[in-house]
Amino acid sequence: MRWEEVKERFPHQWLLIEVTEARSEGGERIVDAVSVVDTFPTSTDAWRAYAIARRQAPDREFIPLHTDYGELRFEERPGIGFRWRA
Amino acid sequence: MESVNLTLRDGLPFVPLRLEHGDRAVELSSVLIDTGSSASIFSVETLAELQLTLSPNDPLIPMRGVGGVEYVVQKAIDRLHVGEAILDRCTVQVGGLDYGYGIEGILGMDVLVRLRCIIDLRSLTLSAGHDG
Repeated sequence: MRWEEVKERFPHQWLLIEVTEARSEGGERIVDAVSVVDTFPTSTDAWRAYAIARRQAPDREFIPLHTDYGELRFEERPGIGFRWRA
Repeated sequence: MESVNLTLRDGLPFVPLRLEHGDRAVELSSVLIDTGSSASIFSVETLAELQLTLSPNDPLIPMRGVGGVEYVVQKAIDRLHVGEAILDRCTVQVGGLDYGYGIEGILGMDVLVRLRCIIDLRSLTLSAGHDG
């Protein structure tokens, strides 16, 4: 599903989405298609679900966010250290 | 010299930390010292205890590493205490933070450098607030 479609179907809500199509270009992460995992009453609930989803499926890409968020284009940063241990 | 005891658990170094925002404060007992991380990170639950909630438009930042992509948000906290040393107006990352090992937060190089920390593995202390 395109992000614009998600915004229409789930207006003004906190969600956990899974990225189904994305690319990294010129230091940016550009998400083209997503699926909705669940909706949540608060940001804290959405982020808690994100932590669980990420732990259960570390190879998949999830994002906790609100449907008032703008475009799904993000400036990427490199991360190393403990968080990136295999 | 202000120092706090450093605890080795599973071979990893942990320190206690205090975060303050407005009239709220949170004491964390197990914050990982990670010199391989450029940024410090705390959980959304910890932020909620400080009555700092995430807004719909807070910019999301994908941190890309060997473990894939992890999304975080940046927030400014009024004060961060390591022992008696204080860092004012400290920008930290906020995320899901579910790395296991009982980690309540990660103290990265941003804070360690600003507080001029010395990690002493002989006396197992972290001292902060040095002038040079």
